[in-house]
Amino acid sequence: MLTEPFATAVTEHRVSAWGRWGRIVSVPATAPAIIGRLARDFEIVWVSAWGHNAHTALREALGLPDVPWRFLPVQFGKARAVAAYAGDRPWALVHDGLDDEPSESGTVVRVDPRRGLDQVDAEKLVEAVHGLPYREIHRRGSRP
Amino acid sequence: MIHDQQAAVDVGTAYGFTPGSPLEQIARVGPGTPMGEVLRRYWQPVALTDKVTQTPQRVRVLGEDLLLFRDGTGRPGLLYPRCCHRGASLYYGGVEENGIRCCYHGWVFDVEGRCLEQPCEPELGLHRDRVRQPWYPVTERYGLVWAYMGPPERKPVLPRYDVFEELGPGQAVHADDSGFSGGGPAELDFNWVSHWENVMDPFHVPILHARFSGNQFVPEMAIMPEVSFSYLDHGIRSESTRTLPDGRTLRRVTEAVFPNLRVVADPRLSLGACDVLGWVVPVDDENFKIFTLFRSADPDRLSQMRTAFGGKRWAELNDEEHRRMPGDYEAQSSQGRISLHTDDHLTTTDQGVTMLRRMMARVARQVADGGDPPGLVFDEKDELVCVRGGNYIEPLTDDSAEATP
Ligand code: FES
Ligand SMILES: [Fe+2]
Repeated sequence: MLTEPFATAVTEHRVSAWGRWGRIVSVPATAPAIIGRLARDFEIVWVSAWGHNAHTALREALGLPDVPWRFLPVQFGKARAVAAYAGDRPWALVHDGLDDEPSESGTVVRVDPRRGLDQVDAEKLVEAVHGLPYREIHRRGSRP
Repeated sequence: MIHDQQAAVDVGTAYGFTPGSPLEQIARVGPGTPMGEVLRRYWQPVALTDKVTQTPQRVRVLGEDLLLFRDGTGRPGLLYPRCCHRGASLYYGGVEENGIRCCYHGWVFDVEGRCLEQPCEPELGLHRDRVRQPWYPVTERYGLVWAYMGPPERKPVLPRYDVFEELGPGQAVHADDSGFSGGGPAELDFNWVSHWENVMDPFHVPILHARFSGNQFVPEMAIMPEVSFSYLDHGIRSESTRTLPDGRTLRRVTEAVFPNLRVVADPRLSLGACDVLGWVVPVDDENFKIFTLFRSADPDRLSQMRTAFGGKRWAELNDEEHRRMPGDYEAQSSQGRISLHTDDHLTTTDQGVTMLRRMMARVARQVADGGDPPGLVFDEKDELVCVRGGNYIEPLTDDSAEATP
């Protein structure tokens, strides 16, 4: 979802999850294709204030699979949470938040909230993350 | 089998829990802080007109200690209190026809800080025009004294509001500084954002104000609404839809208008555009006031609208009654002097809050980068602001509700 004033082409969708609230959101026109490409190589997890509602709400707008992706229940310190979830796997976080998300072990892709996923070059990101070494946390942890 | 062992152990206990922190960029209001600079770009109410007299009074606004008075000709003045001669407080000064005289060596300053007299100096100070007591522009409208505390070259026009310009028979605009809508004392002793965010929290209404504490407004408010949220150019809107027992649909439109204007539809559900507007004005990081304007033929209308706690007023309740029938004040003040925002677990029904925080941070960044915040009026021909919040039975036809994220 983008914040005005948009810096890319968008499509508009009325979204909700199980009723109770609704909102008209704008997503980059390119987002479904980019997410589809990323999903081929990544296990995608949500790290959003929308929590378990995010997938349901945005399923149609983004062309997501029926079975919801997992979500991590954090809103601050997202990179830390993703790193913990990823364990020894390489990871990337696409972040449009206003706060910084410092990270030591993975890639934080900062995007402009007016462009969102549209700014992510999926092929490059896949390549970059494949290039990251698997971390050796288990072995390191067992060292004397 | 490490996993099995772990599953048997209690998790999530408070042992070792370290509290989070406030979102500083939206909570702080002092000079030079991101949101403080946003707030300073707009005219802010600082006092009721009636209360500004020839007796100088100390006021604290946006973390700044200032002195407010009215000179002998009736002009209000808002000065930095420390006399620019050698620092005695003008609080002990005496108001005269054209300004205020410092008690120490008698320098006189007008409401714009010009030094009119230095009585110990030859010819009352040959160079007195070289000093200026720091001052802020003030003006009066609708029974309030408004101050502009931002950069002088960006001073906007003080807006007018359609609901206060078009009065019905016998109606007048009244001003109030008793903390209306705060649900507690006149000066509220916690960070203004906790109250400001509450404006975009329509889901607390059926819980706190109805199911939990007994109907504090009207029984219809216990109905859980369907809410749609939207970004506007000038703030955030929530539109709560309730199906009334008689089958009609009620739309309650509330707006948080930048940077601190509450346009909250009457919680007692009187119909039509909202004619009670409230400015949430930070005293400092840990205190704020609410200045409310309302249109009515009855000057007591507002006090009749205040939250009822089992038939009593807030100030009449004892501790046990506060505990049993908490209202906005208890809920919001208990979030902390400044809330620990990073400990929040926001959900999709909190998205009005999320949107507001996001917009505040975005606007703060915009202002820090030299831009203007939204909703400023620089041309008098655009000074009239239309209020869109209110309670409506008919579907809202509205051209200003943008369909944005
Ligand atoms: S349920 Fe919302 S603050 Fe506790
Ligand atoms: Fe409330």
